[in-house]
Amino acid sequence: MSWRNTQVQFLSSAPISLQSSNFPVPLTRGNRSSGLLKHAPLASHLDYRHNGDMKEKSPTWGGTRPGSGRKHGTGLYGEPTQTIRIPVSALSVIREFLSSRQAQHRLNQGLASAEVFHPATEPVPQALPLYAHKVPAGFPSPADDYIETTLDLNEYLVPHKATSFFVKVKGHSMTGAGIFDGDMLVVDRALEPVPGKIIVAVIDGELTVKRLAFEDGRPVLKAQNPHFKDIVLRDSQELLCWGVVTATIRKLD
Amino acid sequence: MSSIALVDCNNFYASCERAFNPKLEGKPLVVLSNNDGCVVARSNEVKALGLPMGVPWFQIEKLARRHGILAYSSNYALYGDMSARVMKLLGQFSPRQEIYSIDECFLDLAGFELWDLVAYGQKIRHRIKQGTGIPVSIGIATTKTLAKLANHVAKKQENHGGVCDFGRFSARELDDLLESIPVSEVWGVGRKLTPRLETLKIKTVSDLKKANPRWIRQQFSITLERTVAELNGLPCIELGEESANRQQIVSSRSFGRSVETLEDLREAVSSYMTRAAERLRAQHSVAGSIAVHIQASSFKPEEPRYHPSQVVPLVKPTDDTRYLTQAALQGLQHIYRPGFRYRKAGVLLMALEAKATLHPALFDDPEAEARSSRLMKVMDTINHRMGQDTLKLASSGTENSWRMRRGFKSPNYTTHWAEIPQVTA
Repeated sequence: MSWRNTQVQFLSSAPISLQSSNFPVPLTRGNRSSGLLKHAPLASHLDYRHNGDMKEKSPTWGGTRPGSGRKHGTGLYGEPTQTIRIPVSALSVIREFLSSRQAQHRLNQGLASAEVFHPATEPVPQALPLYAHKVPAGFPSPADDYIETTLDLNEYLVPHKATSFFVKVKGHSMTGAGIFDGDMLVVDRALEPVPGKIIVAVIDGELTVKRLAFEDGRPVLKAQNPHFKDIVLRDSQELLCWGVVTATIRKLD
Repeated sequence: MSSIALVDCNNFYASCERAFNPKLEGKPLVVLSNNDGCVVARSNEVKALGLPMGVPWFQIEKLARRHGILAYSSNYALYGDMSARVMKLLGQFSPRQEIYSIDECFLDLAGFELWDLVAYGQKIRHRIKQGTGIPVSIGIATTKTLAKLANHVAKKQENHGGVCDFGRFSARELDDLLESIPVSEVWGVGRKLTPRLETLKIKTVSDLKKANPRWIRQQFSITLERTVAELNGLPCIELGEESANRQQIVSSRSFGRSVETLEDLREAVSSYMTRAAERLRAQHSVAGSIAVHIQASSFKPEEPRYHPSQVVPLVKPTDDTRYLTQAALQGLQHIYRPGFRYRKAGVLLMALEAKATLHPALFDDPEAEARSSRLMKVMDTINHRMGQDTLKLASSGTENSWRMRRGFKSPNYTTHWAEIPQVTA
């Protein structure tokens, strides 16, 4: 029966290593799909050997002869076997059970007889720390209970992060409102431009910062420096507000 | 009854450029892909001129200049920041949000039906436009696939004012509408399936909607069967909650010129790995495995092609730029062959897991790991404060002659102090 031979060959030629996790898998797979299980019952396989032995001896003597046949415990299962009656419906279950049990047995034998462990030729040095963690000792700080979160300027200056942008000021028309050349402004685009607010408007495609006012029902962008003129929108001109200035930031160097 | 809205930014990249440069308003505008290669975004004015998506810039440069088309290199730092702002605002309008791409997201409006959904949509549009300067279109329907189509209608048909709710349509009106839309516009149909569907006499959305689902599954796939169900108002595709952390991180770019030496490739791979590792640490993950790939010549048919890649498993998952780069360079060494003109390289971080839940191994050296974490933190902090690549590995080089061309890039208006917009006072 060739299946046995292939299995045995497989066992001995398989690279035996502790890391090879797929080692036992092909064995069980092979057992399941082997022709033996599909076509010939396990018992007849044993019988074949027995019959073969007995044909060479005299056929006229009946019964068992002491000391004949294979030694007990050396068969397929590595232990004495016994014949029992099995309901046909349970045959497949029992076979499955036996074959997996048998596979396990073979595996154990194969492993036991193989030289598995090869010491590394050049052991890798591995420094192990004596203590992995420092243990804090002493009294905990009495202030621990009173610690609050620290103050965050972002929270103060930029409450609406998603709609706020930073821009840099160039020019002197807004000095009266405390906005100087080189200042950084926080502009919130989501706020409604209402009169009195300082806004960034789009004038001729440029971003311009001015204070919004209405004079005679018409929007006026007022400069906050007497040297600069206000911007009065013409009738056809639409006021495009880019955002409302909410803070000015100036570092003192 | 479910209601799902798909919010999609109009010409997102072009709109981002306009948000900080009002002069661009009303002007034809294109955004070019990395390395100023192809057109990846077009303003409405350019679409009206009939310029297709994806054309190589060098082919149309002269024509574009004659038409006064303005071209910008892609500025992903700006688009990423603007996308985050838009998505954050949109998240305030629904308890459930699925961010689908850089410029699209689904909002679950189940239970909102008692309100006027169109008015609600207009409110969303107004808020996003005012708060960020980005115009959006909104499609509302009972399923994600229909919401996508509703969005398509909202964009194409101006009478909807940017918000289209299929719930407002009678069954008859909806059928007429779907009959006028080609099947290629359906979410998930795409270029591959369209010709096959058309040979089977499924040409419009309506045809697909009326197709026998079981037959569709036999002919195509269960995915398309679900699409048919979705077109019939049966929700099959769940609203995916946002998964904040990526399962893979890719950093890959084309070179400004072709590169032949291993030295140049090593610099490129090192710098891409630096970017990838920064993103890995930003999401508090570690990578268990990396891959590196290089690509020689794809455009010029006369040059030989070579596109190898190499996976390098790591002994222990890490987020340390040094170890990740080391592994990437090992992989590169393995696949590099002289005699090719390389155009592109990239790295991929895989087998990501949360750093906090990483199991320590028996022979770990906790002191060394703490040191590595501190070093990476210092690197990230300094690079964040003083600009990318202030601190970097020597292997990523200093000259970087291979870096890509971005000749027309706009300033990083929202992410660099030195580049914030200027206002006149």
